[in-house]
Amino acid sequence: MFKNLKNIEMPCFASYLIMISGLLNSGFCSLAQNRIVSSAPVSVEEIAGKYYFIFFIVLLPVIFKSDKLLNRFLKFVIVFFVFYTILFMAGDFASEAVKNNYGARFSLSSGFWIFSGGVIFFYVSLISREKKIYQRLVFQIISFLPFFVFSYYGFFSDFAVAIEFALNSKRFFAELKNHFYISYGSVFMACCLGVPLGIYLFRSGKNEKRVFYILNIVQTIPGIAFFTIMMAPLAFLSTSFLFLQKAGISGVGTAPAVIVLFLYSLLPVVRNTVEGLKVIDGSVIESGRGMGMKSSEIFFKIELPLSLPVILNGIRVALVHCVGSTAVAALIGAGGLGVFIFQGIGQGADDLILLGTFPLIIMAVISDRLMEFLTQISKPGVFGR
Amino acid sequence: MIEIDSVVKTFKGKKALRNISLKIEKSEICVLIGPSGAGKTTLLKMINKMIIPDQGEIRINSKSVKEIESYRLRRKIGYVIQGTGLFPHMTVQENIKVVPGLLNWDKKRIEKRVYELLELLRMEPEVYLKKYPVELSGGEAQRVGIARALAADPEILLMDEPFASLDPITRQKLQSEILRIQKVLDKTIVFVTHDIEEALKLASKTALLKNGQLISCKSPHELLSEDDEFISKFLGADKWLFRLSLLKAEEIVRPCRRVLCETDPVSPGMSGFFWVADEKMRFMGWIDLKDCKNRENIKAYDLMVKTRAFTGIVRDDSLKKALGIIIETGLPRLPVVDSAGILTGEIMAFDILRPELKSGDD
Repeated sequence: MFKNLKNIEMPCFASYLIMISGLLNSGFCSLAQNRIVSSAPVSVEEIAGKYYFIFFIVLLPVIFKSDKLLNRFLKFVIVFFVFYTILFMAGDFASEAVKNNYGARFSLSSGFWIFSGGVIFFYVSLISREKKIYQRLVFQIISFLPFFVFSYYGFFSDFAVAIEFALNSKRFFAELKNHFYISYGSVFMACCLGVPLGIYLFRSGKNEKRVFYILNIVQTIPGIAFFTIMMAPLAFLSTSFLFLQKAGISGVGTAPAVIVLFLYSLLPVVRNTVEGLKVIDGSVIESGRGMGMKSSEIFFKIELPLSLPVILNGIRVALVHCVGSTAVAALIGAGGLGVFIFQGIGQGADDLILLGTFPLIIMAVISDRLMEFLTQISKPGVFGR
Repeated sequence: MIEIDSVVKTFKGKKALRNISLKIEKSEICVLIGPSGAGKTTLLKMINKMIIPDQGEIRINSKSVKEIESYRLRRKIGYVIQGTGLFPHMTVQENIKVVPGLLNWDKKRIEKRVYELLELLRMEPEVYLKKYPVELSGGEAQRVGIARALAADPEILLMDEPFASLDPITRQKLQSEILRIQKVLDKTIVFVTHDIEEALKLASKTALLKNGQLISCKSPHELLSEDDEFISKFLGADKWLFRLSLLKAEEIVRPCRRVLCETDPVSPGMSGFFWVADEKMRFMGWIDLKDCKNRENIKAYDLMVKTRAFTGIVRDDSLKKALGIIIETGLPRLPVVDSAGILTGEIMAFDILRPELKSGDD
């Protein structure tokens, strides 16, 4: 028996256990007769019938070692086949419930989230083993494509989140756009100022400590407090100067949000610009000079390309942070996906909160991956082409 | 030709160079040597205006470097530094292309030049062109560094401790490459090092610096014969070994006195030390006939000590190497062979220790 233990891959085994415990949870999903009353738990047995334990057996091969690519591929297929089958069945169950009672709300709840936690753990622990980009791509397609296909054909449209989405779809896209503009716009502005500022600090060698002192203080102010602090002076400015008011700047709304997020983003951008320039080996610059490069040529041909990965990494940190923090900005009327979250909290409607958080997470992850990708391709000498 | 004319440089009140004058002729390899802090690198960097002298002047081909814009000047002077300074985000090819690119050479000419240079440094272009510096060993990287410095075919090559961070074997190989390249290309090379052995191997002229002053500027031979206290201290007791490294075996070679053919019989009356060779006089080994008395019908071949360790030294080998082999084998003398392995003479251990070798020219 202990001999066989060697063939078990521990992360996969752990994710298997998590998935099973999720499936065994009696509150896998929940059903409420309408939006206001409290909901009753729905177990996997009710959704998938009494033979649901077959899933445990189907998932079992996942725990074994998989040094071959084909085996890993099969493991992915198994896990995501089970995942989508259950989701599909839940969707079916939801349709049934809604058909009987139009106001009914069918939500995924703790058991499902534990189960998908197991799936995500499995995904994360295996995907990192695929070094080749196209292999990764295949695995990602297996994992995510069915979700989009199923949702497109309306299999999930009777979930409470989807109903909330359908009810709010116009607002949803408006706020999504808003969220994107606020977070990306702030970071873009921070780059416009931060990168030149970083270059200046590195070049002059002066003021570096002072600037970082200030930026570090800015970073320690809690988001919600910072948004509030900005309200009073901005309100004062906008009432004192008419042109500011005409430009749409006031104590509440987008302006204070963008200013705060811009200030937050400044530290990672400036710091990474300075660090990126600092870590360049002095001998590289010296040989550039010795070969007769002018200082502009040294900057554009050596310093900038070499520090670019570090700078991009700073932008990445700023971006991910900003996408998250923008949610809080909804409190001061800036809009964004936070609107749904706070509305959901206020109304005790969990599904509305999910409507805000889901796209928020996706946006943060996509931003992170995008910047990571840009960082990777910006350092040819280190990782090969 | 480079003329350094009474150059003075002070860094923050500390005198780095005190009135140095030095002439470096065309096609010379001038090695600047001295302990650290002597001002070697400072002097070198003045030639391409990386450092500007406080007083004095540097002239290249009788034209003061002050009159040439520094980036123009530097593009015409090859520059190799310790740790290569290769651009890590560029391939070998792109690294070599930099200076010709700055000089706006046309693309085809640059491509051709890259191939030429890699072949000159014995690196296969197909293998190395697309590699990044991180993928190269230290020796390969510095070869690329040299190729890059030579890219625009400069007359002058400045090398600032280029091999200091390499292992001894790679360093020796690259030193030989420099000598070979110098024979082919005929550049003027200014070379900074603190490794006296490297200096003696490469230099046609050694400029010894100490505390920003030029102590001596002579050929390596003359440097070693000098009786200055600082020089003796700088070279240490190794001075005589260095001297031996500059002397060739041919200077003390003698004709072989006692040689046996491998098929010769060894008669009972014979005694002493003999070289053994085959019919074509190719060196085989040796016999020391001291304590073997009862011999009948024995051929030289049977008694011979066969050598695997060495097959003789050639006339071009240094006496330092010869001494090393004497210590290793315990032989009182060494065979000298030509390139085909044919015995042409011998050198005696006591000749190496002869006093007249120590003093001046032979």
